[in-house]
Amino acid sequence: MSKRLAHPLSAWLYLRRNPARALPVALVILVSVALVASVVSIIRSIDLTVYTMYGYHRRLAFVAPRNALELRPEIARAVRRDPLAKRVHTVRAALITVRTVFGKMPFAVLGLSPVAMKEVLSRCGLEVSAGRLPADGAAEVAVSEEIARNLGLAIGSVVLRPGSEDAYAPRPMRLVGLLRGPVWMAVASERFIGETFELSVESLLAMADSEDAQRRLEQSLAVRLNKAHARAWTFATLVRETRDALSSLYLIMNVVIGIVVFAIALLAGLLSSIYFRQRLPEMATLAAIGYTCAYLLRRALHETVILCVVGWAGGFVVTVALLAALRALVMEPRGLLLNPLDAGAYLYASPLPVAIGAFAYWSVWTGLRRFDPVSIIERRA
Amino acid sequence: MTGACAGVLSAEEVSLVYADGDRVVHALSAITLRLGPTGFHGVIGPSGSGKSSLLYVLAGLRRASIGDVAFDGSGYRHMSDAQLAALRRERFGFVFQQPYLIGYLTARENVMAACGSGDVAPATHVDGLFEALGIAHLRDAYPHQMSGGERQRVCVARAMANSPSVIFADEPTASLDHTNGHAVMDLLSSYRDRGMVIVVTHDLEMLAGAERIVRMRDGVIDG
Repeated sequence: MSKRLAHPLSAWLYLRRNPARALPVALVILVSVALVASVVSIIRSIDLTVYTMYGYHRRLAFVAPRNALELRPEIARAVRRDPLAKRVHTVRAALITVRTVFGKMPFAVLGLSPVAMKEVLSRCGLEVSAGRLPADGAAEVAVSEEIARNLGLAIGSVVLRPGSEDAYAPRPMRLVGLLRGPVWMAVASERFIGETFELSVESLLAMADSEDAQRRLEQSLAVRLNKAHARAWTFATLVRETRDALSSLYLIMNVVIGIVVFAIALLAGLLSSIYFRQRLPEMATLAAIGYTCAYLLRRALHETVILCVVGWAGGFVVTVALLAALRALVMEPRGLLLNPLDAGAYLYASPLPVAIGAFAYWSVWTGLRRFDPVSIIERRA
Repeated sequence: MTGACAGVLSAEEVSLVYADGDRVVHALSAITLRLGPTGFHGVIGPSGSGKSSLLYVLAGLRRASIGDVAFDGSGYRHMSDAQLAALRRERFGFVFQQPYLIGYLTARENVMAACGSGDVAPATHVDGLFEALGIAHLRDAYPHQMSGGERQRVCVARAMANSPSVIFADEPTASLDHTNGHAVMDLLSSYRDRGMVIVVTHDLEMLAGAERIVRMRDGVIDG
């Protein structure tokens, strides 16, 4: 019976039998993908942090007065009468700060009435996981578990205090409950803040029926509010402001990553060029016995594509493992956010194998363009 | 192709001129030759006489500057590089002075590599060839595990893998000792009934039994 074997000139066979040549290129791709994806993931954790920390804005819109402690009556009326606003509550906020990868960020402790507090928590999918909700008029706070971890708080800890620069309150406010759910939240008694804080701004909190209706409510508020006297704090404004604030950082990151991609692609291209020169006798022999330059080029491309795919996949696995370890060991215990599977970060790393493949292909193509198998065979002779 | 031209290799007024740095080399001048379709032929001459250049032009590895080479009645001048490559792959076999084999392939894989870019020759055919050439024991050996003579014998097997019409051998014994040289020549010579073998050498002793010996001097046929 005629037995058929794999083609001896297959790219897989070459790579399998020449690990000393295949591994360095694959390793360069792997390390560069891991480098780019890790850096981008960490930088993008800023967005992640902002959108997670302030994620309650997806479900709650705030209307705050400008240059006043209360909203003008006509503005408050307009908010309350908006057909999309199914629930409107008064809110007074105190501020704490939470740690993020880019420093401390202010976080609002929402002062709410007992009824409003229950509605807001329910709307945001939060429930009490330990302790209880702050009592009406009491110097008490309930925060999300993530915030408690972030600030190292336990039930009974003082969260806001008179002497604090980051979390000021005229009287110490203690943690009485922990919240668990998809968004971060800190709540206190509206009556306590209103009665205790000398200057507390009274805002309105408007909730629609659904997230879709909430978006339409945001658009409606943006159009209807007199911006000279009130400001709407919505998820859309959060996204816009976050993007504006980070645009310079992302520009720098894009330039740096562009340089890194170019440098690594050049390095890999040079490696490919060196390996190609080492393989000239092989190429010359194959060309002499009847393989066309187009075939040899296709074969080189196939080898490069395999290396790029394997290198990228390896880089992906290494990055996920590294970031997962970083998150578990460093970030999470401090209540910091990091997504090891951030698709955007891996998208940033995708030009790497393409650029490396293009450089490698180009170096082989230029080599084969000037290729004369006879002169190589004769030189060996 | 006409019946009279089948398997015949012919050169008509072929000259080969090329630049070597600032120097213009007249490697071949007005060579006219007709060989085949079978037999064992030798090309002999001193170093620089143009014998290797003649082989490369006849094999389609170099294009003639003037004149034309034809195989089976088809001239090379009108063939594209890809067509010439296909002719070499499908109808010709090659043995070079250095027994160059691809280092990461076994002897059998090296031979199979000559069996076409899109095709894989049945292993049994290649194994049969190894048996016939008396090198079956080398089948799974890598080039670095073989002696020079063994490698050259594998090169002969590679040249025969496609059952070519012509085997071109350029100084196939130059890097071998006397015994191995004769063994390789015996293998090549054994192919004379199945096709044509053209051997370039400077050692007349290696051409014992050749049907025709072409003597080269200064780029022209000198007898």
